[in-house]
Amino acid sequence: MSGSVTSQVVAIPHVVKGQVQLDATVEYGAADGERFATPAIDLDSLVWSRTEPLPLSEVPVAEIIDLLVATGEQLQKDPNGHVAEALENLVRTSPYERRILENAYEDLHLLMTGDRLWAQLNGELGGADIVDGWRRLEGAGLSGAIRAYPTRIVHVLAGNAPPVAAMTVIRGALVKGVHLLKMPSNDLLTATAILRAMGEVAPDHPIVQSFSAVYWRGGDTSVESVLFRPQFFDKLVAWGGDSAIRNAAKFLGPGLELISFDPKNSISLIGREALESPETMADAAERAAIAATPWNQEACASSRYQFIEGDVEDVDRFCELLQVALGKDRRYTSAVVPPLPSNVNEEVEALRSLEPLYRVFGSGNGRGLVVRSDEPVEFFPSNKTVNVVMVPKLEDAVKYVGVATQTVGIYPIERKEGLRNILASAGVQRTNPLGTTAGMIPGGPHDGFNPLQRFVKWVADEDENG
Amino acid sequence: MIKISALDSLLELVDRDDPFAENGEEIAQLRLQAISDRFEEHREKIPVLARRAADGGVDAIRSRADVVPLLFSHTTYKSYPETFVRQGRWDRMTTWLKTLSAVDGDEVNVEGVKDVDDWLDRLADAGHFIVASSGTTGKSSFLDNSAKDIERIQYIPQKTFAWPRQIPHDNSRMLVSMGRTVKGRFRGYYNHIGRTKYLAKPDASYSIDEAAPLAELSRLAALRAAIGAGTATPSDVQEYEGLSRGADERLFASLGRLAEIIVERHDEPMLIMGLWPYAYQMVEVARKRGWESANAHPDTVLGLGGGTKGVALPPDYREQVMKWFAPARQCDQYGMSEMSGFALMCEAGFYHWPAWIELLMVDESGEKLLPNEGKVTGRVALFDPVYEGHWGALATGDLANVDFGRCACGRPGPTVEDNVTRYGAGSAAGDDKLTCAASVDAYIREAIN
Repeated sequence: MSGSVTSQVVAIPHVVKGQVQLDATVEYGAADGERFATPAIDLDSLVWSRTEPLPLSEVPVAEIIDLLVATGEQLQKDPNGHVAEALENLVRTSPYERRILENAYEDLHLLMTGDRLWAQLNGELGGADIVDGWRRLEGAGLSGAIRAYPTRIVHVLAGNAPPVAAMTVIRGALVKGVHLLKMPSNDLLTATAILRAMGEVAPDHPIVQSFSAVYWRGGDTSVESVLFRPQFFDKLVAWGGDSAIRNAAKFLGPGLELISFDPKNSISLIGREALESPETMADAAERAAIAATPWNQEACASSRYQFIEGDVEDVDRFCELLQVALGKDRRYTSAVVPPLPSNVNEEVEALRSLEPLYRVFGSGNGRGLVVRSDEPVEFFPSNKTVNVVMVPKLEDAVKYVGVATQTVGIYPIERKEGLRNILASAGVQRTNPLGTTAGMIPGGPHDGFNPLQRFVKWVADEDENG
Repeated sequence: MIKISALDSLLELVDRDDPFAENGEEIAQLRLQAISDRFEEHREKIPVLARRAADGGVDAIRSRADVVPLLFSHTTYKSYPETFVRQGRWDRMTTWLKTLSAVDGDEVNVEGVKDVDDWLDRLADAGHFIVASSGTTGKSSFLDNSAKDIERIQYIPQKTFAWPRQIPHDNSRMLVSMGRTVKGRFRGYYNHIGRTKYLAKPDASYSIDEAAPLAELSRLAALRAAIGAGTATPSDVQEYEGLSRGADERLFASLGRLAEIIVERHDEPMLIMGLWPYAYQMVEVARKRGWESANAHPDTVLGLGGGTKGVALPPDYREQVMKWFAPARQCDQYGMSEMSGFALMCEAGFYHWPAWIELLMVDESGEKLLPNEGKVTGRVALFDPVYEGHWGALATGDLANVDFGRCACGRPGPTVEDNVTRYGAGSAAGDDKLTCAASVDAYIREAIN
């Protein structure tokens, strides 16, 4: 594995408890980008002793929020050029084009504003008191106090969007635990860029002692079988990736629990109101394209199946508009993405030959493809592909949603309230107006749960009751 | 004066004492001519090919490289929406099939078709002879063939089998077929019929009687889809998991019956064909009954293959099977159900590619033709000019090492090394390019096969 590192190999830094490691000696072949190398891993340095208190446990959360805000500002200003350097290396190893990654890095600090962080803490835990100390609890004549106590967490990150690393650092800091971040091969730079910025604004602070971000190849038993134990960690957070979740599950047992941001997909429900006039049709098609394409349709929130009420002629006109709208450059979307996998493309071409039963708009060349059908297609729409499914009424689409359906965008907004209960009952975790780009409400749930509540251990301290 | 077609000249090789002795420039020219003839004929008949040729800007086949943009993958033949099968839309399935077919058949009557096996029978009534295969998810592929295609694929593999010491076509052997595809229009079914016709003694052709007809696989596929869609009831899930288990029990009973026949008639020369896991399981069943070996006739021939099919077998399963059957000889073949004949292993241990089939080694993407000289590693693609009924250009999922030079046995190449693997095999756990997006497949626990 190790050897002399040539200039063609991208050097990936590690950050371990505030120490930036640049000695990249272990080489890996990359699936998409160039070869890369990382520092060698010292497993002993990646755990925190259980005999010492957690570094952040008695630091007020207000202080932590101030540090996160300062970290965001540091990322934005980048006085030492470390963010720019990380970005250059990310461009070489990420499937995304430079422009999108630049935008993503430019926007990281928006997740770290004081307003947002306080809203997140208050929304999920009801205030700072319960992480800074003990909250009184009384009922049925009994009383005492409870505290959301920090824990030891290893996070297996997904790399399809840089905000994943930022959200992980933010949540980890707000609950004050210690956190080992395992970086994925499609984002080897963002976690360490954030931790470096944090180390620059508060070099000797306990927060810096509380985080490490390193890379090993996912599934490497020589690392995972050693670290993923209740002796070292209380919780394992896994993001997406069917095989990654199943792999993580192997190590679970008493004392080590899984918090899973499961692999998800998302859909849209478009009412017949969208087809009423050229204006509404254009509006709905633009919003539908926005819903489908964040992170080149690599995100769990990217809409893949869009159910629509209407006559076939109108729906086909909508599909034409949608196909064009899919091809646009957007802030987190390339105009042209990689072409469809060839086996999927073959299925699309088979459907094309079954017109008028199916109708195919565009092609699998990564510039936007729409397949119109009367029931969902069996392939997984990706690479800027939307399956527009005709339904007599939007309620009929509910039979196609399940626990894997994360977000449902709805058009027009008036239809949302009538649908949200049946959608929630079917498994959906989030409904929003079609094509909204603002993201989740700070303090609201993610994938059907409040992460901060699960990142902590709930401890009770009882009074002399009796 | 009847014009002998290039294909007819190529097929004469099959009937030679050594079908693999010659494979020079002259034969290469014949192959190119046969491919070119097929292209002229098929572009008129197969809509998907016509479109592919138009997209790729191919107006004629002048060289091997011209075939590459026209390669279909094995998934092409399963590109229909599975709901057609689930909902019994056999008219739509027929429409789909015809986009990939060059068979001049009669009108297909789909009135009252009750399942997929039934549909395939109706297609056969109309002159469309399907070779089906099944993947792990239960979704089948369907390749259309003419009656003549079927005759040829039943004859050719029997003619070359056990090369370099072929078995005479004199119907003198007891035959045992240990594959689960001897029922239901799989390649295994046509092979079994071919072996019975040319090699087996009358009334001495045995096979696993608990083969899986296609309808059972479709049922599995439908249940799997229902589980994915979240519409399956607990009893559906029970059936999904139980179907494979019930089949296993029946399979063991069937293997026991075959073991009995083999032991009982051990002094006859036999031909035993099938998959390694079945052969191993049969040997296990036999040993449990106290039969320590088959006491096989020295001229008994085994044709076992197909890898382990994901069944957990001991590392020395091959040796154990061979020891039980000793002194029988094992004949190794390499190929796939889409090929009219297979590559056979020579004395030096290399698979000799059939001279009438064009071997096109391509890169992993399947888009770039690799050179046909010296040693080449890449994806196996081929053009089989034998078929009237469907387009013969196929990109497989196999990663192979091929030598286009002369083989150690003295015969010309191309030869394939005995270490073929599947592209993408074993990379799942090591792939940590994680995304939080996924299809519902992630939510289905696969039944244990």
